[in-house]
Amino acid sequence: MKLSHEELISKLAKSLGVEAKDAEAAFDAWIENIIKETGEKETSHVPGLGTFRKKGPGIEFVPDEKLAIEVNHKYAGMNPIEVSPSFLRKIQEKDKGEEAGQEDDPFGIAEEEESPEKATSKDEQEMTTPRSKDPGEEASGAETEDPEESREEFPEEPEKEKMEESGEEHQEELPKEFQEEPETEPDEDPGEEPGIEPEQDPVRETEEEIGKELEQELEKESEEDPFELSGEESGKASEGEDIPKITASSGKKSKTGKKESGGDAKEKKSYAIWFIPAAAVIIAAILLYFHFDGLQLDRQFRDEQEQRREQEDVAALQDEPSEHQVGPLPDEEEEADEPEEMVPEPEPEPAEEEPEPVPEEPEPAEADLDDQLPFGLTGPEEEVLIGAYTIVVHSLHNEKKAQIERDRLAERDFKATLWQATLPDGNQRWRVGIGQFETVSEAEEAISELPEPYRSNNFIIRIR
Amino acid sequence: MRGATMDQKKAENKISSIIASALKNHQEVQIKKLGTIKVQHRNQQQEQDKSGRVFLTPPADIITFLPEK
Repeated sequence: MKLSHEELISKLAKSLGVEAKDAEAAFDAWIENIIKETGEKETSHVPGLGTFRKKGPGIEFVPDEKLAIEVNHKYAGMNPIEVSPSFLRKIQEKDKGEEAGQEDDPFGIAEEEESPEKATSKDEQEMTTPRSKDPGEEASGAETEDPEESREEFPEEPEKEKMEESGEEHQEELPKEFQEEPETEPDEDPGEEPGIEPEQDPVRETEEEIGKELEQELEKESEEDPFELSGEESGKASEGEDIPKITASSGKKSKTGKKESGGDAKEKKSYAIWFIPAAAVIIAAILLYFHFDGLQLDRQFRDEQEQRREQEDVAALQDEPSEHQVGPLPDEEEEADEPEEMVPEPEPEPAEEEPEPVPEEPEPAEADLDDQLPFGLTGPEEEVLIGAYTIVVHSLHNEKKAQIERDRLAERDFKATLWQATLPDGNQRWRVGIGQFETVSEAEEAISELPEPYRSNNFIIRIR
Repeated sequence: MRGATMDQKKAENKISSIIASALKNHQEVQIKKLGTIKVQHRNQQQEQDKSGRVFLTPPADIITFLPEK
């Protein structure tokens, strides 16, 4: 993208039809003239290019206004916009929100750090219940401490704190039924402890009887409770030793309240009974949706194929004589038919119709640019001139809408142009332009002649 | 003599048109003894005036000149 001195000389020689030496001599004379003028008059104006001025020891260049507009044609007509205070507030609020979000994170971490402490009471309760309910420990009689005493000891011992943390994780993984247990268990615990139990139930004095009962209950619960396995699995992940404690606790609980555990099992069964048909219905609905969607796609595909065949037939019938009309005519026929038949079709259409107008247009534009010069704001759209400037008033996703807008403008006697443009981000738009102009300044002048919706909402662009 | 000046005038017009067309295509033009003329892109900017009003300046392609040292 650089035009070196040598290239410039060769281009000049070609355009003047002289040898490179003569062109270079003319070029040197031009430069010397500029330097001389800037030295004497402090300015040297080069028509069509700009003005060289003396600035301190060096030279500055002020480009010609027309040339500057031509170079800046992409952004011609764009003026600074005042940002409304409400918009600014929104931006500031967003920024604050983001900052607050960043600040929240450390707070969240702090909460997490605090949460184990808060949860210790729950965890302690959990930890106390398994201890007292562990059948192995009960049998050996190793743990006879009261739950209150154990609560006081846990925070002091680091190993037990670890246990608490793991216990908390374990609680999160467990179903609600298990999480609710600790609230009721401490009341039951004293009765379950081997030291106190015999006093309350003199019938169950022997350990053998207790052991038998426990075994029976455990067997029942293992059959009834489907969540016990998940508890075991999660327990294995965290602590292998706690698994039996949890199962035992649920088993012990049932000793004092067998009806509760039986009711839980029934509830679970009822949940399962409702859950299975609901899941089946959802799956069936999803399958039906995809099946219906597939049918629709098939229909669309068939319609597209039919349209293609029709287009090919029309193109075959209309031989070469009116090339310019071949492209647009079938499109217009399709547009007339499509809205009634297929409403959701606009997406695939642009892909089919794109190539038709594009390749036809450049040929006449390049051939007869100098002769016909169909520039101006009004008049029929004879051809799209590549390199000409136009005032874009619509840039739409939908080709049909763009065509409707083009037709509306054409009815108002404007030279309306429709073409497809690819944006830098890869998206495609159908642009409707008014008029064709040789220079940007002509296009800018023509904007003042446009009616109001278009006068204030437009931009000038070069047709490429 | 007059013919020579006419040729020089024609050559100058051609030179300026060649440089102008190169700049329109965003090409950098190197002119010996003078400097380099090129097109630079300026992104859109948000500016605030003394009264506190905020303006959004559109992007632009600007011709810049770098004098030869």
